[in-house]
Amino acid sequence: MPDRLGLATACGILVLFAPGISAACSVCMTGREDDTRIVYELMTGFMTLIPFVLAGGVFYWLRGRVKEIEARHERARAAASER
Amino acid sequence: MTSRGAGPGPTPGGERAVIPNGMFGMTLFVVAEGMLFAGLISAFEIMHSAAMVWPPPDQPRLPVEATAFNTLVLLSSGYFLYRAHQAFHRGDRGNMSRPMTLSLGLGVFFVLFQGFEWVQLIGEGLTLSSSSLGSFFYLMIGMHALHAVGAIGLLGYATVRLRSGWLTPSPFGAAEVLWFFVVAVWPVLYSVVYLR
Repeated sequence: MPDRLGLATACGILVLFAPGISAACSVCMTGREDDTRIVYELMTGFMTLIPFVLAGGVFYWLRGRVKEIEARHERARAAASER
Repeated sequence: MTSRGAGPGPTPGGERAVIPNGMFGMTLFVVAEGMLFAGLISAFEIMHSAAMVWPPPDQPRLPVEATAFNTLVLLSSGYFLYRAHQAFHRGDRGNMSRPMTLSLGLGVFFVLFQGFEWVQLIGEGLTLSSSSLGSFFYLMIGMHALHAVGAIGLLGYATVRLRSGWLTPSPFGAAEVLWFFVVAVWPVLYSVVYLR
């Protein structure tokens, strides 16, 4: 009986070597042509990156706001201690 | 959304709001809607690349020049809302009313002008079912218009509260996040859909 992990690994490797078959719409087969495949790949990259850009942008903005508030508190503390 | 800070704050723990709750909630909504528009743009690009002939024959051409003017109107609306934002954060509520009203008025004009264009296009034969261009056009531009109408409602509400003298950061923040999103997405949609 073949080892299950070995079988799963072999299947994974086979899938890696067959991107040409998967890069097409299953209904209309659009994507087999070179031009459309390039657009498919570009849009896949775009859709992969967009969540990181949006979430990263929100995180960066919030981090900036926190720093601004903490800087303001530091200034207020310094002013209060001088008095 | 809070952070720990020195000195008295709105909560017993001394926490201060980093951004108002309404603004934070609207930001999360806008991020999700950004993904929606990204998906629509992606699908449109793939459909466009797979089309044998583009634009589809026997379909009216999109009004590029008129919509360019409308784009300027929307961008101006965003500029005036930014002016209102600056006045708000300066504590100068007196100088907020005019830019907010202008922003609202320009936004309403944008939506009405879009509606007028749609009526003309439908009369010329571009409908939701006439072609792939029609389907995507009304879907993408329609989704944007829906967001614009919602943002106009929220901005109108904030304007009314300003005039009543009780505009707080939360509703104003929420209104400006949504309106800036609507303004920022439109040039992308215009270049993807109209300028092809």
